[in-house]
Amino acid sequence: MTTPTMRRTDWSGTYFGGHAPQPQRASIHLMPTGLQIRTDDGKNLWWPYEDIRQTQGFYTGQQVRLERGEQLPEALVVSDTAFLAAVHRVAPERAKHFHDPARRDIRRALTVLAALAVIAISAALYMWAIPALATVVVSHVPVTWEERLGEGIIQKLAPPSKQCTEPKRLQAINQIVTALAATLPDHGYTFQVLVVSNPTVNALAAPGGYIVLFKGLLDRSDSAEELAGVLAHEMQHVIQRHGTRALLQRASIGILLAAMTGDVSSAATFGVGVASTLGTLSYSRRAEEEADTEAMRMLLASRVDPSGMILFFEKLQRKHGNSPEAFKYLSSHPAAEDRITNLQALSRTSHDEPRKLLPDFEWRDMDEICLVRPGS
Amino acid sequence: MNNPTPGQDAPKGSIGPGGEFVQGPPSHQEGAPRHRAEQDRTRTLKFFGSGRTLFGMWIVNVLLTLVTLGVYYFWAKVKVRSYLLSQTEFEGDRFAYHGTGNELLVGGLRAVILFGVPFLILSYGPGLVGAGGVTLGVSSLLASFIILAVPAFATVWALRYRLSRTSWRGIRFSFRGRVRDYVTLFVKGILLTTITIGLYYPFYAAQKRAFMVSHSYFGNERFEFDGCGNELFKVYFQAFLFIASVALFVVFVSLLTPFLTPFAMLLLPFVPILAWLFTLAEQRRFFWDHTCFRRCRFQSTVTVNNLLLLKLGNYALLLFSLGLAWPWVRIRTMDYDLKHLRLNGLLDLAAIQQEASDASAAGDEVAGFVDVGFDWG
Repeated sequence: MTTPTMRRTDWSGTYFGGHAPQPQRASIHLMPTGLQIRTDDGKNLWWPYEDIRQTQGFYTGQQVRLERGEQLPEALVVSDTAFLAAVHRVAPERAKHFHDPARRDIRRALTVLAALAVIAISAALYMWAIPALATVVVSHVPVTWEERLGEGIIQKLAPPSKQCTEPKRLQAINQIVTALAATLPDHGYTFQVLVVSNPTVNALAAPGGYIVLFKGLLDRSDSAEELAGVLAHEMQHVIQRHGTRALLQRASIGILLAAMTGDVSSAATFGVGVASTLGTLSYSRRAEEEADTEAMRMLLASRVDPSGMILFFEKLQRKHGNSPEAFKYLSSHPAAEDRITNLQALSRTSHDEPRKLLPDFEWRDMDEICLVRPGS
Repeated sequence: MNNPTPGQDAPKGSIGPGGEFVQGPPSHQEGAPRHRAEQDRTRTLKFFGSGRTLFGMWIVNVLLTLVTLGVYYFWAKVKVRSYLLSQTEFEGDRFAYHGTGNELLVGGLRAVILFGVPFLILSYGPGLVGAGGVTLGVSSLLASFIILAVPAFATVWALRYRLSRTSWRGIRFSFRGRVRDYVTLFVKGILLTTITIGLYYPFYAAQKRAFMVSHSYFGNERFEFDGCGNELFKVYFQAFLFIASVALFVVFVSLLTPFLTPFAMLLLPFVPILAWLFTLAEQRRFFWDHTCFRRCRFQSTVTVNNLLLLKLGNYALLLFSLGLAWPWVRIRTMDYDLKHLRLNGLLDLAAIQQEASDASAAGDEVAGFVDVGFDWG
């Protein structure tokens, strides 16, 4: 449909010669091969369409800006976007490189499609591509790199001054680790357990074979079998390389979000930080489930009584479910009930007679592990 | 600060239409052409940008950046910048951006080669090949030099590139400061700030701003800066006094009436935030109120109150939208910045001529990496 405005061939605009900041009012006549421009100070200009670049006027509210010339171009500014439609009518072939406002509706629809595509691509990257990429990359990271990475983490989390080093009790814990590790001869890691004098009920694994036990968790355990469950879980984090994987996935999400925001200014990262934390939560839940399952398999393979692990998790949930210290261990792990049900089901798959762990060790003595500390 | 004209020791007069000097007060001279009288007034900037349009652009930019594995990022940046400048109006005419995605891509690659590659080699190389001791120490020292040097280079290069690609009424802006001079200023500033435990910082900040402003040009005309560090020092000192007095107040309250201590403690987290906003607002006013262009002086109307409203709104928007609202935040911020900036005095453009220098895009991307904030308008 051709409107009267589109048939208009005479338009007015502002001309900038590019030498001095004095704008000139210009009358523009549309010709089939170019623009005839006459400025207020009497200049007559001829701009063939193929010499003209459109640099502005692609969006609502933007003026149309046409430029001609290379280094310091002359410019012609027209406020009315209908000008573009008129140019397209007068010179449909030669002015093809000008934006056509008639296509803005299509563009709007395309933008909605783009939004859907962005959601789909991000979801695909998040759900498949990033984990798959992490799997491939993680399997190629040498253990020595992981060890160096773990060392750095350990120095912050378990500084030597905070470590409990009573040799007899530490040796007892290491015996459990050795017994468990014997079931998987080819994992390539040297496990090192560090006990930290801290009332928090928590344990964690750092890449490269480091396992940190907080004294609070040790206090809650009543037998070697109970602790064996926690140790097996943390050892599996190391063997499955969950820590290294988490770092990679976090970095990938960071890159993905940076690509989305364009300029990551300090303000934008504030909101993005929240999104990125939420994003890594589901990855960590998956890792926890895997560590639970593999830990139970490890216990069964080394003929450790699996009820210790189940009992300990139940105890943590029942007795300390609402206390802030226990919350720390449980909150970073899958829903406690699901987890216990899952462990129980797995434990029933083996019918081997369990053996007693550390038969000669009085578990209550474990209390005194922090009596010897490097600082004391 | 409300001085209408810079260079107060200059003889009173005005510049005629042909650039000749006309004796007498600029605006009240009898028989002076009316347009000249009209020129001596307060001018403001207008901003027409819309969050919705920017959001649409952003969606498309994200898609294309993802699909091209990041390459489109540079073109996306150009689109956004061009849009924002084209929606900024001064004296009835809009600004224009002339940068291109190609230039930014080349600049980004150059930045990676110049800084990124040496940095990665120096910081991870020795560890990977198993070198230790002196080699490790020297290379990590060199790597930290690179980290220190990047902001200095980036600031100058980015400013040079960005201003050279910005125009108003067809006349380009430009930045003609030399990297060498800025690095000298930067090293001296950091050393003295460290030695004086921060006391020198306001003087350094004022010198930095003076360097940036006084090497910026519109056409062949230079911007001027006449602020000195003492004034900024007072601002920082006031902020310090504010924090110290509230802290003392809390100590007294807890000593005299211990049961009120928890309430007094509640004050504490807000104190640094308010002090930060106060310095931010005062510093912005100091920077602009001392910036002149020919016979005009800029004036900023930023206050703690309006800045607090802006920041609170922005953080709330970002937090509740998980960052999705950033196009609106960008528009809000730009609108705020421009709304609170004025130009007072006689705007005389007759003598201005185009005089643009070429600039490479390297610093612009370096600046993007290290996030050097420069609030030029």
